[in-house]
Amino acid sequence: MNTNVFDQLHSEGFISGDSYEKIQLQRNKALVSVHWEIKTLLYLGILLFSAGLGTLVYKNIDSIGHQITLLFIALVCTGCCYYCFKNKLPFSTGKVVAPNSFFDYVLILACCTFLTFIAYLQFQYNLFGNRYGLAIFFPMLLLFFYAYYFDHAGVLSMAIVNLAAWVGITITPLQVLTSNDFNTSPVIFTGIALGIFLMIIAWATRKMSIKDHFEFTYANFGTHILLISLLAALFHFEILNIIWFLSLVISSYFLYRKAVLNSSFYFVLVIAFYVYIGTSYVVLNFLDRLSGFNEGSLYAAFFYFIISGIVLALFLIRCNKKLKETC
Amino acid sequence: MLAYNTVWLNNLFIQEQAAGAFHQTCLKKDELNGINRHFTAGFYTPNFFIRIGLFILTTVILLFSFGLFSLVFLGSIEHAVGGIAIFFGLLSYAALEYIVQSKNHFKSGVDDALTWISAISFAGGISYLFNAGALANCWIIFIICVYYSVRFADRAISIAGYIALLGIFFFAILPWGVAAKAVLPFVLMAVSFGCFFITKRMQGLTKNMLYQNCLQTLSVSALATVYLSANYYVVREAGNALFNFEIADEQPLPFGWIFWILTLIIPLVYIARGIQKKDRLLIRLGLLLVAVIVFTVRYYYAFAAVEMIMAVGGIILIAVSYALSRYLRTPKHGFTNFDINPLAENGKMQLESIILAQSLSIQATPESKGFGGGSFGGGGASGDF
Repeated sequence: MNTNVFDQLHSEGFISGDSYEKIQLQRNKALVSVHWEIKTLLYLGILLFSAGLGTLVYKNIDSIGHQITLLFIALVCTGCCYYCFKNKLPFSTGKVVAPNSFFDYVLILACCTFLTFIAYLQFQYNLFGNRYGLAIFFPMLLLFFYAYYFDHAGVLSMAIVNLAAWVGITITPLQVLTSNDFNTSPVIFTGIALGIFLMIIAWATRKMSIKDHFEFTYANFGTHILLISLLAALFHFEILNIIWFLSLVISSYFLYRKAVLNSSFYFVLVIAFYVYIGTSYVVLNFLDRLSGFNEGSLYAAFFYFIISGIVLALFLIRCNKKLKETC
Repeated sequence: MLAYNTVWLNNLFIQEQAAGAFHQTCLKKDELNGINRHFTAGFYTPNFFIRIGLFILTTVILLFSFGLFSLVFLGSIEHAVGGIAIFFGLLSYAALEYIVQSKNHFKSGVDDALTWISAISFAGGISYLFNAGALANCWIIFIICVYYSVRFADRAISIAGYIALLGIFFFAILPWGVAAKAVLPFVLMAVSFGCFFITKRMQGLTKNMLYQNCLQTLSVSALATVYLSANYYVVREAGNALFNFEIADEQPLPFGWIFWILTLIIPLVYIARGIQKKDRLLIRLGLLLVAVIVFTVRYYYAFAAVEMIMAVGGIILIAVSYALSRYLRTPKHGFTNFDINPLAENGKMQLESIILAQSLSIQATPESKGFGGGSFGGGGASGDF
């Protein structure tokens, strides 16, 4: 805190003597919070530990043996689960805060080790045979259960990623574009269906008021996967192009309405850019078909980007004003 | 000197201070409201996400306008491009001044993009016109960045200017040959430390209040470069690369012990100083540099396998953070584990969950569903943006 400011505010009569003394007191105590530093260290520690341990086991599997490794992973997992069940606060459909700052991380460790355990069993002993789906399905159920039971949005994200993996799509944020083959129609249709499904869940979450704060997590994954899949469909199916573009615009419109209702700047921005990419593709495609690649179409394309950029910028400025009023 | 309305900037600062005090329950609600009503700022500052969007769009508009200029001169582009860049820089600079002074944009995304694009076009255009070498380029960037920092107080620009300043010393000394190799680390260290000292001094002056952010960023960057110019790995490998001074792999650096001592000690000094001065930035920097120590030592002395270090390091980190959070449950020595200035609780939780989904989740393996491999290839024309 800057004392000069408060000296000035006090002498100009904006702050009562009482408050001014409090501020002076607070300043002399000068507490510095290292909350986030400690949390980051803890998170890094868990990440390093689990990654290091994983590699260690992988490299020494010959001398350690599978049973012992499995037993160890199971022990860590049960230990963490035990801790969570013992320390948790009672369940409710509203928000439940964690009993302490350590709790969240123990829960995450429990989930991670459980996933490793199942993957290990499947890989080494073929537990589920060739029904690979089951090896993803069971952990997914458990993750969803934990997410709701212990009220943890992070675990919920892991569960949703698992759900997507179960239907055959990778939706970890950085791999969503690189790991999926969006040039095949099954992936595209699955993506669209999954996106719509997640949006329905998001809507139901709010409507039925079960863990309201989970809505964002569902809507976030849902919006991205739905719009990416629609874009992919637009690029992939050349013949029915216009239909896919219309469905992109229509679903974006509904998502946009919802974003405005929730006054979420983030969703407005994301949706606007997906539509922008789709529109640009359609326009460039149109120019290409009209005259092919020549100087005229190049000029037209450049003008398109300048004008559309200005239009979209004005749109965002208007949205900003509109959302600020509703906030 | 600043392009932005300084009275409003001051008022913003007062508002922030008051909001902080209110959060720590030192101020009453009506006092806060009174302050906010009296010290108003009429800036156009949209929401953070809208700012990102406006930044991207302004960049798109400017790039394509630049492309349009270039298209017109397509026949003689090699001669004209320097001139076009400078002309374009002037245009965008004019737009920047207009948008800041008449439209009161402040951190709106538009002004950020215009600042960067005009600065880059000036630097690129001048450099191209004079066919400038490395040293001259550093001077050009440094001068432009100083002007922009003073005028717009942009943190990232001031860091770029600082790096250019180091570049000036670097390229000025480089031609000295063998002597340069011996002197360079110490010169860079001295310059960095000098910059740290000066920025710290300037931070203390009230007239520099509106540059607080810039100066703070600069002082932390200066401390970081003090360390980097003394780090054993940097000195040895950069020396090898720059002077073709082949030191065999096993052979240590001459007078290497000086650098080893500095490599090991500086981060600890930062942390100790940070704790003593209650400076969170310094503590964070120190912690980050401790990781650099581990990397440096491990690079030359393979005392244990990487995974072993990760596992053990992980355990140590968990233990230390657990012990610290226990120890600081009640505030001690002016430190607390209590989150004094939380962001919106919801936002933090969501951010955390996205990081988790990225770092700890499984992916759909193509084998598991019988899909063939292959990567994202359907971008088509839109792959460019």
